[in-house]
Amino acid sequence: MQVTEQIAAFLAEKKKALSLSDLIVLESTNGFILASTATGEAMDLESLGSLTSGGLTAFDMLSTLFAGGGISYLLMETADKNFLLQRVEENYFLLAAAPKQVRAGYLRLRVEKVLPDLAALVRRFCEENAVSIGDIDIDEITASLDAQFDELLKGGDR
Amino acid sequence: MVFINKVAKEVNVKIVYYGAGLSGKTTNIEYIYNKVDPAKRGKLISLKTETERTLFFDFMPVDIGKVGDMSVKVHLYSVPGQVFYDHSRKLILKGTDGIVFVVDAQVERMDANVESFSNLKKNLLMNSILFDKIPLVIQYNKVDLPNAAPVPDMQKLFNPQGRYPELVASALSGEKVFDTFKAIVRMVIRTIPLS
Repeated sequence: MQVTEQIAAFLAEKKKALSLSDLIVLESTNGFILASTATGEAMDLESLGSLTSGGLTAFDMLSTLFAGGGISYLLMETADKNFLLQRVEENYFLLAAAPKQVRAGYLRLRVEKVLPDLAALVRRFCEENAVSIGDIDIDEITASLDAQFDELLKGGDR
Repeated sequence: MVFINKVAKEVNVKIVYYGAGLSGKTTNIEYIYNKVDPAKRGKLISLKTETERTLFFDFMPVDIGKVGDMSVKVHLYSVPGQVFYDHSRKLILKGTDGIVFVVDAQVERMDANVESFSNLKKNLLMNSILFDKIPLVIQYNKVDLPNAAPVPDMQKLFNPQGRYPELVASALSGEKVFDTFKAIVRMVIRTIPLS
């Protein structure tokens, strides 16, 4: 099993095992989604990734400005749900959402237990993707970009 | 940093539209949003003030599709141009793979453009990104307006050595908007082996 599949399986398993979260997403600090337990097409993961990444980055800066260091996690409470943003490795974080009855602090404690294993998987992902990317044919990618650009405009509001 | 998932054969890149307030950054992204096949782009998120000025960022993902055997996804961001939102601009530049600098061609906005260009250099440095290394495309926007500065004058200010691809555009009518987008995507893709 590839590491990304392992991460996805890990999240799905923990979501079930913890009986807490109705959504778990692992993403980079740039908002790129690595794995998610979201099902169906209703969830707009890219928007979610961008907004959570923007929020975390902003709070990170606030924390640095006023407390002299970056944050390791953020808890949010809303009328219906509680959210946890937990940094996993320097450039990755986990977003977990739970029903309102699950207290945010409790959510954090449960997620903290699975953090070391998740961090190990993320480190493995980083290692595997940091190696030479010689198997990716950049010339071919560049050459076929134009065709894809034309395709992009088909179906748009001309 | 380009986000590559080799197993999933996926390349994700972040491109930021930068420039002075009201230079047309959001208009660029809105135009692309309206023209691109809805199946190939996500939602356009705009965090705006009550006066419709960008407060934090605009965001839109575009799925370029299968290129070679890789799936390329581009995340477009624009920064708030107003001077006092400097912290936000710095945050949004974090991890960017390419920049489109939008110059407002109106003569009276030239000082603001120059200040924004200098601000871009400073904020890139603060994010440990070397200005000379990051893919950059310059777009001279609003050139169709009667008070637009001559393009050679703007080139002297922003691209005196002709190092960067530049496009003469009108974001409102869509002139060269998509060409700008294509230019920056091409540049970013070319940098992948070096990143």
